[in-house]
Amino acid sequence: MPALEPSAVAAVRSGEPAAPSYGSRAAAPDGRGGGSEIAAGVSVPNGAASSVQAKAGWPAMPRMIMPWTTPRVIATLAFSLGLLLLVLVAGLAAHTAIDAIHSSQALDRSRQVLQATREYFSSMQDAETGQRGYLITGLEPYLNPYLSGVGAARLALGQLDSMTEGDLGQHARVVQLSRLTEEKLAELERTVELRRRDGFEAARAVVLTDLGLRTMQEIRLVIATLSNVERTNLNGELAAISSNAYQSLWLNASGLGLALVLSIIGFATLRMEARQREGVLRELSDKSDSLKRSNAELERFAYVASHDLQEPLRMVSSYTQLLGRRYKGKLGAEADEFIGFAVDGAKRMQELINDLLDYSRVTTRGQPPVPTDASALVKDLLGMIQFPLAETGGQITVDPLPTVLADPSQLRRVFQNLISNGLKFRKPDQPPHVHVSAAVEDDIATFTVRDNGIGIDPQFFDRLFLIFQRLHTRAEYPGTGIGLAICKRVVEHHGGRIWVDSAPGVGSAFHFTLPAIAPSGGP
Amino acid sequence: MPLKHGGRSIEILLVEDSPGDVRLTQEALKEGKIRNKLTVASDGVEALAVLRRQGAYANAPRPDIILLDLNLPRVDGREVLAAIKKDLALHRIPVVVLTTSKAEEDVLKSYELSANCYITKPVDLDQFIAVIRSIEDFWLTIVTLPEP
Repeated sequence: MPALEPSAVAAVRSGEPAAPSYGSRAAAPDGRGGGSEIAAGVSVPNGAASSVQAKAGWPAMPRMIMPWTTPRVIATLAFSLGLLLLVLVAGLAAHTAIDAIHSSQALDRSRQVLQATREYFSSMQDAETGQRGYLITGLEPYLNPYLSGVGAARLALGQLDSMTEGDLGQHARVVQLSRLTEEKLAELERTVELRRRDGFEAARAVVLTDLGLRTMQEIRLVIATLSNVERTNLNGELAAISSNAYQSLWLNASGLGLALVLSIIGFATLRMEARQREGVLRELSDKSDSLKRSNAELERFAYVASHDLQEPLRMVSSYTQLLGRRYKGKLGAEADEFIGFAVDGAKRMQELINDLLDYSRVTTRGQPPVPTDASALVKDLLGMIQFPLAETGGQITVDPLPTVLADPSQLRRVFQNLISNGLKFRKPDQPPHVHVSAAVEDDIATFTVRDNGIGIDPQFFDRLFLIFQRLHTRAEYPGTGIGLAICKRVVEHHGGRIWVDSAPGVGSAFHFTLPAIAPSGGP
Repeated sequence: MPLKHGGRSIEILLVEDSPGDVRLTQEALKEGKIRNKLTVASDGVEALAVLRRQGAYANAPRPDIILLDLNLPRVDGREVLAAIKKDLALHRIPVVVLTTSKAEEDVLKSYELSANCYITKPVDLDQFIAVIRSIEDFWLTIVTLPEP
């Protein structure tokens, strides 16, 4: 983009790189021509500038509430489901573990039952062996196995009884076994007693009845059944444990897998949304940058345009005046009139261009704000400018004013414009009185310039600060209508706000805000 | 006002590229009391050639005073000013910078380059004429110019 800087334009004219000239301040390449200058040039605690902006009447940034966008809903659902799955998986694992404990306990019991059964049987055999030995020899020592076997068998039976408490079928068999055991043991005891008392033949006779043999065979059967059933139980438990374990493993694995997938979905959705947002933000920032640039260029353009218009305008203005002077009365009355209008037009064009230049210089020539004592500044102003007081009988009164952060020459301009307006738009029959005051709250100083003049109709309030807008004809009140527009530009350039209270016939009060600071050395 | 320089006209060199402004200056000077001869150079190169009496300007009169516009094509007015004040043969000639710019930088730069004074051309015709007259009054009648 070819630079529109005045220095560059001058360079084109002279054909050489120009010496630094007016407008070089406007040539900031990053286009900092707008309100951001205040933040750039001021050494003020970080929050202050932006908080000033917010409080000084700029529209506050809408607070960003967490909206429930679709990606967020999906992500939340995914994460919740995933969490739920994890909980389920944990529950399942716990259940499986408890099952396994029960199963292994049952397994152990079966093993013990089988063990007790074997011990019982071997004890019974021992008892038989002892009995036989004694029957044959008649010697007491041969009874030892019988004695120990009987005790052991009864012991084992007692264990079996308690161990099969939970299994009705098995318990019934154990009861049956007990009965048979007592029968057999009774038989054994009888034969032993007979041998002891009556000798071998008597004992042999009982044996030969085969009662003992038959009982033992029954016992064998019951034991076989007991053992088989118990073994079947045992195998069943083993199988159950195994299948439970596999089932649980499979369920847990799929549950975890699903939970993992859901979390990935959740994260992916959120990341996608974040990227989108990043993209939007970047676009916004780009747009804002390009806006800033175009604003800066527009300002430079306005400045250059109005500056370069001065020269040809001077020619038109000067020569029409010269014509008017040299040929006054010599070209006829009409010519004088025509020239008069041309001269007047040129003069007004000159004023307008000067005002435009002034207006554009507010930002291009703006100095970084410094602490400025408004009281001293206004006092200075009143001393410098000859406000038309004597001829109107008017007066200007000033209250104590605070210290503010501002470009002093621009602030002076604002006061000058407002005060002179207050004096200019006076009631024809009343001496004008302009009063300047201020109030400070929360680091914001609100200045008021109040007059007792003709007032402004509220329907014109919004047009008031527009450039070149006038509410009266030039015959009534002079001026191009730029004074208030300049005030507004200066005030807004400092991050403040300007507005008016007024009623026709009563007067007007113009208010504007600026960042206030404590004068150095005091609260 | 007594005529100075034994009655000869004051030689004024006007360095100005806008013919409109040249004519205005001429008209304004015509209305004055001092007899003066106005030489016009419309750019910096021509101005320096006239001052140094080079080439076609070998017989150019030596100006008693220079009215210099800053915004000139080719060689810029500031460079002409610098050249004049560096040139031992020329630096005694008073240079009145007469230009449209009000810019502080231009004012400072001109004085830094030893301009004798800086005047911003008024936009109003009457004021312009008054300024030219003032230049006449001050520089050509009150002030004693060095002998060329």
